[in-house]
Amino acid sequence: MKRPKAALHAISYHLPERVLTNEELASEYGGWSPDKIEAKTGIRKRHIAGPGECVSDMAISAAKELFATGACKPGEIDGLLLCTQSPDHFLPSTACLVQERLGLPTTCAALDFNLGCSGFVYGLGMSKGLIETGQARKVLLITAETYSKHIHPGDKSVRTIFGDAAAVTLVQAVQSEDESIGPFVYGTDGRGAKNLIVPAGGFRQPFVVNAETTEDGSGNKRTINNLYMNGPEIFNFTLSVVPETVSRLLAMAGKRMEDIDLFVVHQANQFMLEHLKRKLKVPDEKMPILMAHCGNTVSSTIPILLKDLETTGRLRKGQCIMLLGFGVGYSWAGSLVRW
Amino acid sequence: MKKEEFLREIEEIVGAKHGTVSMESNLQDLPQWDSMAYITFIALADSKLNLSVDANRLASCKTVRDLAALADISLD
Repeated sequence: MKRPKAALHAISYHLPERVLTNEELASEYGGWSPDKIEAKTGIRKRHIAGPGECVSDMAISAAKELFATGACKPGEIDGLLLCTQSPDHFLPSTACLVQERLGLPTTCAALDFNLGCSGFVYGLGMSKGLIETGQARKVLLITAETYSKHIHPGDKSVRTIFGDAAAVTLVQAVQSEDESIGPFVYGTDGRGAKNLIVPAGGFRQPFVVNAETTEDGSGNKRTINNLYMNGPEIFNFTLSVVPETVSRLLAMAGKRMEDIDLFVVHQANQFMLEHLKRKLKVPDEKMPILMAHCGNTVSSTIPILLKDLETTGRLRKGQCIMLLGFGVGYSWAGSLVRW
Repeated sequence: MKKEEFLREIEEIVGAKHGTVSMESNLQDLPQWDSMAYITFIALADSKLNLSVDANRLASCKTVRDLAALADISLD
């Protein structure tokens, strides 16, 4: 019997109940109107996890929704990959908590991996590896973040952009001659680590009680315990690696730009995406930007966009889709998916 | 790029009225010279000048003339 192929089968996602609107942000910060925030970021609102609401809680909600669609049953899952940078605990892995709460079999492999905006594509690559080497047949790939818990309330630069979310993607074995996922290209450049970082809270720099609040030249406040993003450097990084990743992926797949039906790109912010679209010379209709309702949800932006495109009928069977994720690390990845 | 065109681009980036920005304008005095303006300036240099602008050097600019020098623009 031939080795099975991995195929992306179903996606569900969950957004927390609490909503942070542009109106709230504008009234807190001044300077920018709600319309200006939307024009610059492409975001109208973000969902923010409650004080006791953690990654595992959002992951459970998203997974239950996926099971409710009939896509699969909990007892069939034999692989669980959970991508997060805001886990419930240092240890154990959040994936183990999710396995128990979802009632997945104890024979299920489960692990966390720590990546940001490239995480979904990396997770898809690992899912394919597990399935096509016969190590698993049905993998739940969970991407979930509560970046809001890392963010200082006085930091407009990141608070306007990031929202919390969890997405669950079912990748499963199918008998087929054709590859529906791949090839993949990956990239890493740790020189960019300092440009998107939560400096304290690990063991290099333990959490600082009563940490000093500093203010940058743009009036954004944060402590060493909070998320820091050097937006201009991240933008430079993106301009540098995304076009190159597209070229590498096309060369590897033996395809041309015209062969790609949709570019599903990490929804970082609207300004960056519009610029990338022009730089790559991709028509508007081939690179959707849909982040107004939830903001930049880190590793979940790609599955959320795929789900929204599927729901609205813009994703059609047989389309060739390029996935591109890039960000914290620096880390980036691209892949092709045949829908 | 002509000087007038460059100044119009800067006015657009910071949300200033036409004719209010000069080469000697202090960036900190402009209405919205913030991290979003940095990114918009980097995008301008990338798309219109095919030039990569170092973000740290950008942050050290004091005047509009410094920006022009950073983007290696010889203003006619």
